[in-house]
Amino acid sequence: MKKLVLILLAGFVGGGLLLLSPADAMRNVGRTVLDGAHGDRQLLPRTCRACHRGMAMAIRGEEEVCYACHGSQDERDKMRRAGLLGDGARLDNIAREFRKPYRHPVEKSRGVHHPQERLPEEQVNAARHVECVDCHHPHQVDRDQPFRGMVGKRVGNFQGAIENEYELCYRCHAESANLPIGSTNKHAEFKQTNRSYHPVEAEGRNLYVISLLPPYNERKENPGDVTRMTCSDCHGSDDASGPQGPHGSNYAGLLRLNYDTSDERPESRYAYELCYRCHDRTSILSNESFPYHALHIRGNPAGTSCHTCHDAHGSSKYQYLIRFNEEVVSPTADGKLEFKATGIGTRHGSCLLNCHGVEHNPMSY
Amino acid sequence: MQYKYGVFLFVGLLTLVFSCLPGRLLAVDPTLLLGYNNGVNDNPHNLSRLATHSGPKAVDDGPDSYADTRICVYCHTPHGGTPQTPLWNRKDPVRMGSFPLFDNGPDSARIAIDDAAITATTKYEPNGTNGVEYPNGATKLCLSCHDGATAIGEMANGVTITMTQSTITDKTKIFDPLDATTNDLATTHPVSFVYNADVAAYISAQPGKSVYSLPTDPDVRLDGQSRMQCTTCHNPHVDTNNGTTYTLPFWANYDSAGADEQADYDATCGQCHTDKGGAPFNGHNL
Repeated sequence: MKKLVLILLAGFVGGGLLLLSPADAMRNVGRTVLDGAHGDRQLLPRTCRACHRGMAMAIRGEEEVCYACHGSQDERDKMRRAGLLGDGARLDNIAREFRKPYRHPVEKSRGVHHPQERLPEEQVNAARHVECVDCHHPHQVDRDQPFRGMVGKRVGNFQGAIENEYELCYRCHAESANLPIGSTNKHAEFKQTNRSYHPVEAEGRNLYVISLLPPYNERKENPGDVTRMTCSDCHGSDDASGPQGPHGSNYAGLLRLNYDTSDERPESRYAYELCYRCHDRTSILSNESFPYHALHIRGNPAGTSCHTCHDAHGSSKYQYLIRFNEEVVSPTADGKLEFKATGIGTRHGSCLLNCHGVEHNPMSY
Repeated sequence: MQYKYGVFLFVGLLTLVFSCLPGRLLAVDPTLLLGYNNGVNDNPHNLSRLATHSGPKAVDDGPDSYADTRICVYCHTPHGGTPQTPLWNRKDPVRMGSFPLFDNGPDSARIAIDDAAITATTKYEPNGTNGVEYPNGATKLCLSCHDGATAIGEMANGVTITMTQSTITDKTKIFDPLDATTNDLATTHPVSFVYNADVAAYISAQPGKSVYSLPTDPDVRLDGQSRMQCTTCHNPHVDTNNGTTYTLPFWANYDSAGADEQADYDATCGQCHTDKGGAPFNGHNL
């Protein structure tokens, strides 16, 4: 009899176990791919469906999908009415940035981006392209962490997470085999073995940058000192109150502020506004670092741009970011084109070149 | 005593047997099932004359006939069905051979599971490669109406029922490879591919991909060959879409019983599309 009860019991218990919804036991709360800002239910109450709408699940990275929320107010209102976008989101119109003359041309390529593409590109003839998803991981992106979840530089077969913004930029603007004619490898310009570079990859080599405005400093001495910079310190929207980041700008070079690079022009705060953001205009025009700075920039009657003698990224040959713009500067009559610095950071040197008809063979300071 | 013993054994056995019925058909609101349930016949998959929806249904063929009130026959038959289970009564879709593979990029690049690194038996194959047809399994059955081209009323066992419309005409519900205005199988969620531990590990290893897992919830099922099919997410018997608060059609993972569409949806996606918060990101906001 005991045996019977046991058999019965076993039957009922077994049955009972199976009648319970196994899902309750198995349900793994939080097992989701959505994280970061797009994982916030307040913003996207319908999670995946905000972007993967209806039966069209595959998204090829084209910008229109993003513009549904990150475009015009009308588009956003449509998303809100459909219950796909929460009310709390304060979103900028990024689509407008991409209509500016200098921009990452997301609209120019269709169907070129591939989710499994490996960057930097190794094929010489691969089509250049950019889409929102080349800088932002839609499942991982978060407030104040625009490239969270993006994988960066390749180390052998391994791709590590991006820690610094420049690693993201280098995916397309450094060792890519398909760089357009006239584009340079930005890593080559910023690398720490160069004679001088703007402190993007590391703190700078020159310990005497006299014109630096606070809080910028060559080395950390006080809390709050800023010794490093990012690509987007210079490249970004010209609208200071608009969306951050290098989407688009009205200034050439996708720069945040105006930077004139032409020769034969009068000096003004506006002409070199980008440089004067960190480098004190008063210091430069009073020749604190180079006795003939003002003469070159202001000229007589017209001066030349910072760009004529300096490369804002870096110089593999010379200190002080000296790299001559050879559209303006030419060799001397005997074929020399050279800058010779005296010592390290001494602010003395000489130039061998010919510029605006003046032979420097050499001219020393 | 012997007899009593037998009865107990029998009852115990019955309990076990019945407890093994598929969970998805137990404890579902009967009004969501296919007709003959309290007279509710608005399930879109009820194709009989009794159906109250606006889709295709049988034409009334007179008062003495019951042929036009049959419900199961459109998909199932006890005799003369196709070799495919369960007692299947549908012919192959007329569009077999032209359904596009899921394509997640330019120049017809296949998704990662199409990569040569995955052995032929576990990848997503074009029609007929290695003797595997595409689409296959339950998906092929769904497409024998949902391609918008195969006649709904012509069954595999020779029965033909005259319908108000011979095919589905609502373009939002069909996947016709020859009609660009219908759903494109190349951009919908991929189907009919083997999804096993090898494949999941392979996709997870692709750059920029998160972690893929195998489904554990019995409501989100792969078929007998570990393939993802329409039936992984959809249960063709249970009409879950009420048009207002719950719009997921024929949703298999109906744990909330209609109360929380979003929870059911997330729980479904989250079965495979997971992130364990490993490098390079640490999960938060989950």
